[in-house]
Amino acid sequence: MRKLLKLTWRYFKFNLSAQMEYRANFLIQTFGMVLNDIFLLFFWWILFGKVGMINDYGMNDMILVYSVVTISFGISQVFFGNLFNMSQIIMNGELDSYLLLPQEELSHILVSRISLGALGDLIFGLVLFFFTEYASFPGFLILIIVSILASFVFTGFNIIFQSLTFYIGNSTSVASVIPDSILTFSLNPHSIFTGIVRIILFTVIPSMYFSFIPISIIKEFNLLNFIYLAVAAAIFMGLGILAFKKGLKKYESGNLIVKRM
Amino acid sequence: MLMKKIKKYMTVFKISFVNDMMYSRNFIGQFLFFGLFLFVYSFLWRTVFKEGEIEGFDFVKMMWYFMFTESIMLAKYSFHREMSQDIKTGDIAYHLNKPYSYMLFMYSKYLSSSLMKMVMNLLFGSLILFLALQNTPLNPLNTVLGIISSIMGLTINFVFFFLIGLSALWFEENTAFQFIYSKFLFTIGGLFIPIEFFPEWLKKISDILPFKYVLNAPAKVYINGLEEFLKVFPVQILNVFIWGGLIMMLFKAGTKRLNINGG
Repeated sequence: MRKLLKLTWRYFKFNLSAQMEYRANFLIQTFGMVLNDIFLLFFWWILFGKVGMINDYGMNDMILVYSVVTISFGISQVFFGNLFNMSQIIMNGELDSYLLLPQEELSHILVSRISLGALGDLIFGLVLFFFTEYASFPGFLILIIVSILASFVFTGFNIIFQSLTFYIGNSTSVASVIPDSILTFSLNPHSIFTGIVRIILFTVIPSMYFSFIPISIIKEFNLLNFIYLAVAAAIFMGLGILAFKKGLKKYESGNLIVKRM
Repeated sequence: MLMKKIKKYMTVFKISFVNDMMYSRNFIGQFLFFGLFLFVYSFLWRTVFKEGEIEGFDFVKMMWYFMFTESIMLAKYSFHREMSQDIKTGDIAYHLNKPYSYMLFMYSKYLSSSLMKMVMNLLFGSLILFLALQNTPLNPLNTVLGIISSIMGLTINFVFFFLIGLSALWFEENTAFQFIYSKFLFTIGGLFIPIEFFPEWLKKISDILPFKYVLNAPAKVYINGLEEFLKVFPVQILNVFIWGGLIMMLFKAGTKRLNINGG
């Protein structure tokens, strides 16, 4: 575990300094994403300005939703920046370069890249939290912890779909819809989803662990909900690791000479 | 003479159309996204409109409005990336010495690709909504007028994409312009939420700017029909001429700046 944290930190520093080489691009991508998130909130500002409340949600609640979701997504993509490329890497037979190294493969693939846009999301979410009525030091600590757990749910769930390539061949088109589906459901007031869809959002598409449960913990700390979130994080991450490890046994080398830059 | 010229660009239009049809599998991913958006927003709008109409929209109208704006938004062929690359690498020279107008050549390609995607999106979106809602506020006249207005919307969008592509002559890195433009469409263009929902001051700003004529105006023609069409279509044409004329002048000035090294 210590070795993995050290590797993650070193990759983070290395990738960040490599990206800083192109400073204009770095700023555009990072702050472009901050701008993007602000524009997304614009939609809710207009809508709540017109209707006041949507079920039990007001503008303040949506700000908290955006804060938690962007931080969780940001953590996942900043530290596991290769997550969305896994399917492509497997399909192109580019895993060989990871398999030959002494570090555990899955963690190594995940941490070897950084997403600059997600860094913007992370910054945006952290700043946004201080615009909510829950802004306090203990509140901030809870925010960080629940966001890390939510990011594990997101990462684990995506690993499962990215690993499908081992089993069914090219799963890129299916895998690419997964992050968007989780995000689209998460960035809406959760109470609008009822019936079977609500059950789906707790199981098949785990959006509720990405926004609703973390938010309810921040609003009012509840140990049961916290344990619920931690267990969900462990289950989804566990399933992701299992899907990858089982799939790896089916992997056939692409016989490619790959240069990782 | 004029017919010969039109025929030339029609050929470009046809070639681009056939090319896109060859890769019709690419539509699957787009339809998945589109279907997902329609599904999620149906929950939101059902809740928002449970009390009744807001600014002339009810749940059914809102869903058809959103389906239409999203169909145009997802259909736009992003040729400006290719154009920026051509300018940076100097490959644009291969176009400028050919017996055609570069702007019209790009427009033929863009319109062919975008129009086909838009029609496919409209067919898919209409089918989904019709099956899900069992209700449509539409009639054939509104659909035809909506499509005519959206062609004008796509043309206004072309002008801005061309400007973004052209900006590569002055700026090495122009992705920020693409990004900001798409966000303008997203917000004051009325992609997710109609302009009618905006506060008065913002509505006035949107009315002056061209962005609402790309998405909001065609979608409203699709919903409200002839009366709306007569109101917005002349303004769309005016926008095409004003912005198109300015950009044509800029293109002429820009090509004078172009330095291409032999190789």
